[in-house]
Amino acid sequence: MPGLSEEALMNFVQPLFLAGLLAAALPILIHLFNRRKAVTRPFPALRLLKESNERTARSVKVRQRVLLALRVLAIAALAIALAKPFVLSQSGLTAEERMPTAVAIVVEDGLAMGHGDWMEDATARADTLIEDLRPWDQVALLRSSGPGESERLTEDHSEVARQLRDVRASTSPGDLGEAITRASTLLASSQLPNRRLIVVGALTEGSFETAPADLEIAHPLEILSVRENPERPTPNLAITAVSYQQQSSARESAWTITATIANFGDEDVDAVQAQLKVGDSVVGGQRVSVAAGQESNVEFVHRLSDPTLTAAQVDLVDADPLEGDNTWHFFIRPREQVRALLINGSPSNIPYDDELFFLTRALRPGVASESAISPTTGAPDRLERDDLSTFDVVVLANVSRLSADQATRLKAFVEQGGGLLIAMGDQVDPETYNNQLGELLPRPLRGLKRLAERDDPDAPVKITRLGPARRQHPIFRVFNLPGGGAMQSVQVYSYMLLNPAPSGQQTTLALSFQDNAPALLERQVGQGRVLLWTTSLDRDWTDFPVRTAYLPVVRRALSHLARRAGSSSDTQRVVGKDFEVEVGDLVNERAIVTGPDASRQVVEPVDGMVTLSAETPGPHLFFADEESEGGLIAGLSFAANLDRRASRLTPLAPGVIEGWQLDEEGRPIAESAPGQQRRVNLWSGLLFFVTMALLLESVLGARRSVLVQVGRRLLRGRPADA
Amino acid sequence: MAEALRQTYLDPAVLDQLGDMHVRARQLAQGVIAGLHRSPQRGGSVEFSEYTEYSAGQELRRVDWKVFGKSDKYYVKQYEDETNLQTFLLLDGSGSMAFKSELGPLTKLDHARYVAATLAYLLIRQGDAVGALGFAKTPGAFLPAAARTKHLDDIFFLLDNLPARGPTALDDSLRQIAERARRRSLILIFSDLLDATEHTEELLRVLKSRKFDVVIFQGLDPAELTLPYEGLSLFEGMEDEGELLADPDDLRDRYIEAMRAHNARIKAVCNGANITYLSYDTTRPVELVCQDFLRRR
Repeated sequence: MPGLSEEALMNFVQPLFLAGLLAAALPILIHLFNRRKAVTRPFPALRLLKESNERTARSVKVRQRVLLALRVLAIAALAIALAKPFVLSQSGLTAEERMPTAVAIVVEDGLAMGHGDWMEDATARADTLIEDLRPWDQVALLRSSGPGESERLTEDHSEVARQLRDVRASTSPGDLGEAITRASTLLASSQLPNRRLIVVGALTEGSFETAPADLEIAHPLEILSVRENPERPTPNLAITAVSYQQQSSARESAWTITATIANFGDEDVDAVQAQLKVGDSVVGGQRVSVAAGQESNVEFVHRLSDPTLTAAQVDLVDADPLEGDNTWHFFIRPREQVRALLINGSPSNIPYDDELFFLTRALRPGVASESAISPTTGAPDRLERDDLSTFDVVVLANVSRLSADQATRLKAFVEQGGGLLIAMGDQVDPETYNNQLGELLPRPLRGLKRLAERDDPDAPVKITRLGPARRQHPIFRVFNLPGGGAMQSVQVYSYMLLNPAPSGQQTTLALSFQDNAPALLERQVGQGRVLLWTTSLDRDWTDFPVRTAYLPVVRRALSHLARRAGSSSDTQRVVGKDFEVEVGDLVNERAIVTGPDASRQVVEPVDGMVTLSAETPGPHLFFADEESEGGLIAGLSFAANLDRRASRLTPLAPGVIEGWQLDEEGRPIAESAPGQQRRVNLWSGLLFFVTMALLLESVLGARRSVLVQVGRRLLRGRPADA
Repeated sequence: MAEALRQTYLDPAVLDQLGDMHVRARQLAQGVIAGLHRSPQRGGSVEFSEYTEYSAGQELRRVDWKVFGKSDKYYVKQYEDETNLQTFLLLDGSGSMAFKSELGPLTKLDHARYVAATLAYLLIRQGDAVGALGFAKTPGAFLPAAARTKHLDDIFFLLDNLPARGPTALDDSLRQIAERARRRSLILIFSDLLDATEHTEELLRVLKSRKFDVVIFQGLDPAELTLPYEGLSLFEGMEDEGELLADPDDLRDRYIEAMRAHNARIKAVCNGANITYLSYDTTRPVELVCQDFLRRR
């Protein structure tokens, strides 16, 4: 116990006053000075004096020494008393004598406590603690999974015992550090003289959300560990990730499902059974070995018979006592790609001179199958050759003119729900556009406005830049984040001037230039949408394509035109944590999410976003407006899993707990909270000693004649009093 | 010179008082004084004393024929013999006698000088022979006893030039006086007797046994009796006894006790040897000391 060593130490409330100890040298200095100051007196009867001195010398010397010692001790004791010394002591403190105590019991009930019978053990221990309390003690129960409703110190011990019976291992890892801090705060508010902070649990590394070493606790801490061996990591396997990949682009093809299994123990695990479950049936199984502290991947190949959204899970069978992290839920869903037809109005053999050079790279940045947008490029004649209904979006990039047939097909495509992006360029003839695409254009074109050539040295003063965007527009919502002002530096050398829109035509200005000319306009036509980009998609009229904002803007623009939600489906959703889902205009009034165990959440979108959270692990289906087949949005449905932070059952590193009880200078901070120790103040005794020493000093230091006189007077006075 | 000395030591007022006292003393204790100071033998004296009527049996040669021629009566002219009383003044001139505290009006030596001078004056006026011996480290100047008035000047000179230095030589001086003085002499010792040892006491007894009449004047300073000092003090001996650093408060009781014991021992010796012992402190007026002496005679 650290308390034992503290008990022996004397502590000071005002250690600065110890400097007063130097004053203890004063009587010695005065004594020496007085010796030098002795008055010289010629005296004839020196022989008799010497005889007397010889007889009295011893007692005088003793008296002088005693006097000197008394003075030195009195001053030293006064200095020490001013420094307010005290010792902490447990001795003499019987249970009955013990002062009323405020006890905060922190029970770890995070996910990790689901391991074996840890939770039962912990509640049993906490129950014993509560039983041992005396009626006037206050107690509070705190849980690491989060603040309960009645987290307060109370003398109603049965109420706390009742709360304890309801404690179960939660589905979230919890934050033990935060719970301990809460308990410390609660104790600090108590008026009772003694305070105890008791933590019952396994104290795994995973039960702390922030670094456990940063914790500081101002109260003496008692740890009741439920671990069998508090030194060694408890063996635990967990599935920490699952990824899946369609092997080919065909809609009905094989999927490769890869699960990552981590071993958090300190011993290798051999041949543990992993199985893949799709729907309700087990479709594959493998044995996997994981070295201590390492991860292993296990791969399943599965051919989906049903191309729709399918719930699946990977399980470790009978792997370890902590079962929550032995399962990983996920959805296998056919990829919902945006199919875009890009019409190149200004092709070139030199790749970067090609009109679509930047756009195609922005839409397909890496491997084709990884991108949610699948672009197809071609000349304007593809508008006649291809079945436009197989595309979600058509992009006209600097296309000079369209045939009447092409324009008609395009118009029909848009009216039936397709998306059209029209981008300007030096090939564009405004008059032809107005004539052929007038019913699609948000506003009629007027003519080119050329501000500067790209190589013009005076360009910086002539050009304009991208100006304010409609922040709430789905394309630009992402730029609301900090640093989202990156678009402001985009330079624009030329753009297409527009005429005013005919009356009654609904047009939305999504983005303008700094000189207030429109940059991006949107118009609803039939079921579809048309976006008009008044400058070029390549570097002819602007340097936008080489700016960081280009890629997200064009991708989001195409997703917007294709009516796809921006959310990237089932990334790692964690039980117990809120997350936001961008629903765009897919949800009109409310979103309904149904999970396992018939759980149901209904939320209303705010600015195209909904905030969700999962309470149980498993697949969650996302419905828009109505809970029916038609309302199901496969892209937004998700599977939730337990937080893998809790899987790390490693005990806290040695010294971490001791470190909690030290302040920045490495001193124990338990001084401020006596806990079970009594703080024995020493200064009152020292002051009494000082008083007695001064009294004795004045008696010893007084002239004998005076004392004799006083004594006589007292003796004489006695009969008179009697 | 003699006048100056008289001025120094003899306060006329004191002498007057003593004179009166002497007259009264003579009236009160005529017999004692007469018996002491008068020679028991008549005749052969050089100084005329008185006339008495002739009675049968007296020597005729003593009849004063001149008076017979004038008065036709036989008167016998009686002469006083030179008194056979010799008095010696022994004055201690050791260093300790120079001590004078804030409580004392005079040094012990000065006080003793006054007493000695006054008594010398009285004795010589009375016709006794007075001698003197000053002693300090060694026995000093010795004046044989003489009754001449002129002799008083020499005594005063001796007293005046007695140094107050060094250790005392009381024992040697007593031995010297015992050799030089006639038997039955009156020896007046003025000293603080702080250095009186058993040997001194033995010598006093010897003197007494040789029929010397010894009177001791022990003069002490009041400070020596009470040790009234305060605060840490470095006491220095006045006769090379070294020094002592002490707080008088610590020593006072024991010192006073020791001083009393010392004096009591001397007094006991004196009583045992039938020596007149006069102890006083320097605040006691000189005339009172003289009166004490005369009363004790």
